[in-house]
Amino acid sequence: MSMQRYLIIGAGLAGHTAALELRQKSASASITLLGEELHLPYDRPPLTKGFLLDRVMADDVMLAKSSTYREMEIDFRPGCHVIRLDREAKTVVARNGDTFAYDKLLLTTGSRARKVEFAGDATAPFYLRTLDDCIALKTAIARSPEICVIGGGFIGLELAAAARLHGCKVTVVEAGDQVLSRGMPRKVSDFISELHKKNGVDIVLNQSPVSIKLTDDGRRAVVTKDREFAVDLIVAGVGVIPNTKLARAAGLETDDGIVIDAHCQTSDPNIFAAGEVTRHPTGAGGKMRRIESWRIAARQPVVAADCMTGGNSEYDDPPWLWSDQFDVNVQLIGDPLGGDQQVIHKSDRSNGWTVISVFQDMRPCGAVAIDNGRDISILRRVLQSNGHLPDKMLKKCEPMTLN
Amino acid sequence: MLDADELGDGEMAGFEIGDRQIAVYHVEGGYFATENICTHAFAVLSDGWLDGNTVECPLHGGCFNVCTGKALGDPVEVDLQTFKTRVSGNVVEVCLPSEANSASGARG
Repeated sequence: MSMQRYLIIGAGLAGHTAALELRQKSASASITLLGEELHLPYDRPPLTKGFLLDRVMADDVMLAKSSTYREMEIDFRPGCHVIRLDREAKTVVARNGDTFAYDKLLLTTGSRARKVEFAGDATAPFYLRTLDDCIALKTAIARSPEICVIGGGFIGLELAAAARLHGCKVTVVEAGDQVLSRGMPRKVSDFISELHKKNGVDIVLNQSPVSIKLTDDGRRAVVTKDREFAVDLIVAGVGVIPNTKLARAAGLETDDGIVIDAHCQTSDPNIFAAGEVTRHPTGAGGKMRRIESWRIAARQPVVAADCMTGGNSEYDDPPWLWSDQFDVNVQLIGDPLGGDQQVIHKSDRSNGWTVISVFQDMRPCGAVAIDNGRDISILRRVLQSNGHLPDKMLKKCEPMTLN
Repeated sequence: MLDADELGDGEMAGFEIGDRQIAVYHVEGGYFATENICTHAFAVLSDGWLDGNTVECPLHGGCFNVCTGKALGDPVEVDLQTFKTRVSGNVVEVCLPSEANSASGARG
């Protein structure tokens, strides 16, 4: 039997995890990991938290040493930009002409930061996606500049909290009527806005930026419908876009993400995908979603590696993410705006609380916890088994008005 | 330092002894103890979730084996420090290194 060749395109957490898993499954297969960035694979969550606060250094976020890959005989190629995938020949071609052949291919190409599209100096904003982005921003923040953050999502808010702790004056400009406007119950968005305001961050809602201009004194100003914010530094966190270009060009099914089934298989039997780039079935009803969170990059590749090596496991981890802002821990699981009503469950050992979205029969479909991680651990198991809220929890829940 | 009746099977509790944070677990018919602060970020493990002999940190979901202290994978990598326990009559005692050979025996 000839040696199996596994090729992984995308060297972030998902690609790295898959490479290690494949080696666990097969001691002799050829495993090649291609990454566009020049760094070794690294972990993103610390970049907008500890890294910006100088609690974590660049070396600490690396997921592996080059010796790790050498020891496991994983052929890691950084700085490799793949330009074409030939499904017939089962080869991929890189920009520098290198060609790689595969028996099974795994796409873990992840996401890239969406760039702002307004008039004026569109090159002004900093973005926060890569290690290089964050190294540049860290240097800029050290001078405690006045900052305007465009976008009141998780990235914008985590950056606002870190910058504030550096003594910067921070304004967050959000186009919607609440921060965390995608998928967050109103009660939680309001709590987070208050948390930031209490810490001196200026939160401005309902203002959509239209342009960035230079001011008379050489600064930049973010111009919205009714206002202008003149600052030293602009950072934008306005979403991410899945890197599906290679898959689309090769004729694989994509739909704002590479479409896969629960076994991580794409529309091609020899090609799999895992991590943030995928659109996959979630929850009891198999609703197709693209999940932007660390956990999917950490767990889904394990299923992919199993299925690529002949296994049959399915990815059934409920969507889950966390965010640390100032001294508050926020966790979201499942689909917190689904269901028929929302109830609130308060912790009896701290000030923590959880908003749980439930169906008529009190089965939960999602939740958001503020400093109440234990509820998330419990709910993950309930969601995985499509079960009901445990009695002890149910007894302590109070209804909330649905908004 | 802990009344055996207070900690049921499958339960855990956190204690502050001097300047240490200790978690005590009642699993597999015995009592085990580890440091109570997660090795990944500042979080109190006894505020998390105990499932069999695995404790899940309430902050980012990292799991540890409470009997051995071993970190069970992402995002936790560093094992927890463990402490010996013994049951004396109806009291569970935790042996701390700085008090080698003498365990604190007060009821808690």
